[in-house]
Amino acid sequence: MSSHQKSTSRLLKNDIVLLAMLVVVALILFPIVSHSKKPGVYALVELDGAEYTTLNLNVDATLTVATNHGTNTIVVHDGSVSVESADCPDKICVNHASISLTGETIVCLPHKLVITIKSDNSALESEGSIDAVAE
Amino acid sequence: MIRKNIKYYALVALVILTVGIALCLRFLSGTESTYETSFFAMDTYMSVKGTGRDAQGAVEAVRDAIIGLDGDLSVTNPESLVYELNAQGTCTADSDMEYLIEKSLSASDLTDGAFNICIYPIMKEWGFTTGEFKVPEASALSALCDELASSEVTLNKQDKSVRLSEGTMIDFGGIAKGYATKVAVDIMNSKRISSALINLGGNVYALGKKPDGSLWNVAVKSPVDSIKYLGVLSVSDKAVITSGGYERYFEEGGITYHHIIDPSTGYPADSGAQSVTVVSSDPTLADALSTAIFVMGEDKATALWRDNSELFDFIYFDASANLFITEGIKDEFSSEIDFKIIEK
Amino acid sequence: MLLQNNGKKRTPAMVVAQSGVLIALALVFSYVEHIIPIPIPMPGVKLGLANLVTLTGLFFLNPLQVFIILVARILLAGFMFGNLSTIIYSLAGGIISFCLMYGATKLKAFSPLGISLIGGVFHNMAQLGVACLILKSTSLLAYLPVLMLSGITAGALIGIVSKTVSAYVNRRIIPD
Repeated sequence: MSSHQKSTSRLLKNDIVLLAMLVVVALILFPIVSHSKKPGVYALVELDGAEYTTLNLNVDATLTVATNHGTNTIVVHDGSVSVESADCPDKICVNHASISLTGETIVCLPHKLVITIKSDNSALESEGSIDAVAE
Repeated sequence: MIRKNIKYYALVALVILTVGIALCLRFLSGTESTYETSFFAMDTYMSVKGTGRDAQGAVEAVRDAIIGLDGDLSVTNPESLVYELNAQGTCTADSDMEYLIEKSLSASDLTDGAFNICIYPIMKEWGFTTGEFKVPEASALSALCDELASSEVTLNKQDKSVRLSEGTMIDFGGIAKGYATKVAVDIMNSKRISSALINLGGNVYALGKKPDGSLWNVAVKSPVDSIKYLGVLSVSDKAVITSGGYERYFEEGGITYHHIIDPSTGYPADSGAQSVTVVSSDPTLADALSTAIFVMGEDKATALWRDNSELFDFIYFDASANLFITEGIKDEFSSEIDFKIIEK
Repeated sequence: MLLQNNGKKRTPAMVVAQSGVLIALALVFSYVEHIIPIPIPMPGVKLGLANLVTLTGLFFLNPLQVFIILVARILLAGFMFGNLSTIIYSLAGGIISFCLMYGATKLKAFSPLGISLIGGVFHNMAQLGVACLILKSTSLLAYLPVLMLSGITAGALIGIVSKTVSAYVNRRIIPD
């Protein structure tokens, strides 16, 4: 019995070392990875995996997206995007902090709505996905 | 005892593995970045965008190189080699000029003179070089055309000396942006940029694919107001260069005179083209050919393409709003308007 | 080999019945998680309740049986409340974390808590890796630290529960 206890405590010690190391690695990675984030240029709104529209972050605007899944009201203000109101059951999207940095997303799973901040501004130049115009 | 140690080693190994994987991921993500810059050069607005390990370094090197070329290739800059050549009739070519003259001469041969760098005196007469537009006297133009017909540029490959025949002046204006694009592409390749979009005032080069792996979509501007784009090309590693009379023109006495001069008449080209786009992996050639095809018209251009279909493809929009594309780009091109495919 | 477990002989019927019960249990866990998502608005952050079955199973059952239970649960849950892409993500995360957890049990250096940590963290890393491959984008890697922390948290919670459960499983559930 005593040897069993000893081995259990040793295992627990290993567990705690592992836990500490994993946490340290994650914390070290935080600033490294997030430093590449920069303010976005536009917000891409996707519904059910397909592009719905884009919103220029420099223009304050309110967009209501109504589908048969439900309604979300998206607000652009001072370069950041948030969901002001929605009739989804979980309200994750409404409670989500506003997003402004490239790669940040707000997801409303029940309504299959994804808002992503993008920096590639060429897509904003025209509807569709034209990268450049030869003229 | 050894057994116990092994477990500790295993623990350490696992942690190292975790850190290693994490750092690998970080290495993959952090160093690939996109950098974009815009600037004015060669009388136009340029934007260059690249994605790679050193995107900023590459894009800035491209910008600096193009701004440098702008000065070096300017016919009005007294410091430039072209200025010296035009003034003295001879000079020693640097590598830029050597490449440009060789390309220009081969483009002239290829297009039967529809592209000609010696057209500078005629452009000057029309005021397209200065912006002080005027319609020249017919007699003055025919004299200049006769002179142009006998103009000669010779490049001595050994000592790199360039010689112009009496009265000849050259201007790389019709090919400079294409060459600047080539220089940009070379810099991008040497800096291992795998994805870039080089847009020198509407002369577009799509390098590699977009960072998301899809093809670049390059729209072709429509010369008429009723349509926004003639169509969209989905390409990779291709230059897309358009020439149209709408780019630079002036009106006098109710007649519109555009800047693409037919070297055989001295007057703005009247081949029936409204807009010509050339698609080629050689941006310098594409720039020369877009001008030349505008001058040549559809029939001659088709014949030229049939003989050289491996070099380029083109999109041709004529005065009656008919759209033609060559067979080589039929899979890359899409349009909201009807178009005909020119087959081999 | 499935009929052998810790040296005890079992009939095929026992193995099939036991696997069926455990797949059902894991499916219930998946379903519970599906209808009550964690209120953290970030894709990939979840508790991984179904991992409780895999983890605990690793200590009592033949690993092959545990693996079969895992894959069956992922496929069934995917078809019932997911789609093809969720199946791919779950399989990637599930298989990688299973392999590493199984390896870790062989080391005999960690308690279920530590093994669960390994499972949680690598489950998320594998999913992120697959997401990067599928979307051909490395921008998702910004989620890496968050997903690691979430994997650590989920792994620790599941590990603690598994440890608690194990004490009872040992005595009551696994038939000798």
